[in-house]
Amino acid sequence: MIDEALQDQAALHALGFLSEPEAKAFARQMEANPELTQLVGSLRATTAALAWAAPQVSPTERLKTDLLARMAEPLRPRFGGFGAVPAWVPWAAAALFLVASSLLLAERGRLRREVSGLHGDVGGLQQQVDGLRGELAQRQAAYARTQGELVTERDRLRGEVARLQASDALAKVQLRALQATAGQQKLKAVAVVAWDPASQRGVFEVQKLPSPAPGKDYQLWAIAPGQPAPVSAGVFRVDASGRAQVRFHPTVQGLQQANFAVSLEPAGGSPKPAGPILLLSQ
Amino acid sequence: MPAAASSPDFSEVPPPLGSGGAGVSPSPPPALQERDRALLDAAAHGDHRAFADLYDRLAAPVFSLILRMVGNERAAAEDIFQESLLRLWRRAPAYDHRQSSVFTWAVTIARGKVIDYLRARGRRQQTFVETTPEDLAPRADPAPGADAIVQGREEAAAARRALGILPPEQRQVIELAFFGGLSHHEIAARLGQPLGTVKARIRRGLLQLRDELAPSLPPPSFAAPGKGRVPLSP
Repeated sequence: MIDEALQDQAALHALGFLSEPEAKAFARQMEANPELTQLVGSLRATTAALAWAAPQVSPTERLKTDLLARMAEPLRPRFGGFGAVPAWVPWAAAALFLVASSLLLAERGRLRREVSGLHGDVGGLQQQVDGLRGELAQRQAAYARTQGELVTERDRLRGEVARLQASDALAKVQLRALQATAGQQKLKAVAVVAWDPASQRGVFEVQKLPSPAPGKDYQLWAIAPGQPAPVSAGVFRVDASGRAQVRFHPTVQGLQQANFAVSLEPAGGSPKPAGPILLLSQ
Repeated sequence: MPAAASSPDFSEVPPPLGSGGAGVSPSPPPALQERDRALLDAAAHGDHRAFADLYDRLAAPVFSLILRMVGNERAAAEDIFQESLLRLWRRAPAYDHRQSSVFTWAVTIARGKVIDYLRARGRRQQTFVETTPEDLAPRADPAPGADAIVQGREEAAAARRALGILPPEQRQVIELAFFGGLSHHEIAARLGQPLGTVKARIRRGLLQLRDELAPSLPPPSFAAPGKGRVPLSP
């Protein structure tokens, strides 16, 4: 009994539709199954008989003549032998092969030499690369050293610039010595003002100035061109030895080439000089 | 190719008689099968005359099949036909009668050649021409030789009648497979039908054809294929 799946395979095999592996596997089944073999044989015969179902057309007599003529020809090698070509062609082909082989051998030798030469060139280039790498390392080290030196020099120059700037600033500071005015000859006090017009700041120091009477304070004044009246620089007190040192910053700006004066004012100071002027710079 | 041998004596072979006209099943032609085999055997020994006789017996159905498969392109059909017959001649020494009749073998070779040709041109889908009712009607086709005329008419009539009996869906897939050279996969794709359906229709169709054509087919005496036997593929 052959099942339908096997019958399907048999029908496809009879029509030549099984792939090569399928056909081989099916042939093994046929070997073991005579009934299957008989089925395939009958189906092959059936399919072949269908050739009669095509409209019957006879080939021309010329075809038969040509076929019989070709049958008389010697069998040609399947992949193009020398049966249909002149006898000298194989010899010519062999000679051509020899010539081509010789040329190829010569070319092979030339290419080998060329490759060998290129290998030498590569070695030389590698040495150059190594040399350049060493030089690059040296230059990088020199650069690092130079960079360090430059940093040091930069810092040194910065210090120098700072020093010069400081000296320049100092040069701009105005020093004013204050002396007792004509009516105050009995005072032994000495005073000095260091005035920086750029920053409008100053330092006032006085010595040997007796303490003021009760209800009175000493007041420092700046007298500058362009100012209609002296500008107050602040009230100060002296210690027991008659010394005082104060930093002042007048509220009015733009005081250039100023002179300074000290007056005795009511305690707390006055907006304008009201008491006697004790000390005055020249 | 073996040395030429003398032609066989066919005097002992009964002539293939049969009065079958249109619509009449031909009688079993074992004698004709034997004659084909003897002719091919002689051809295998280099007998050109024997092969010429065999040519007369096979030419019409084989050429007609090729012509149908290539879509009636006569030049292509003639080339394939000549190559097929030449192959039959050259492979004659390898023929094994236990596997198939000479006619089946010749058709298998020719059909394989056509399929190779169509595949090489990707034309299988285009060249197939479906059978019309007129194609299946009994007709008197020209065929050379008295034997061939009589036998050919009977076999052609039987084949067309059997094909005409098939349900249309079975006849369609059988024709696409046999004349169109389309595989079952290609048929399924072309018809938009499941592969299993196509395979089942091919099986049923071939089995019914076999039963219809049984009287005209060679007896089932084929041996199982084994080593040293000729494969049926061309």
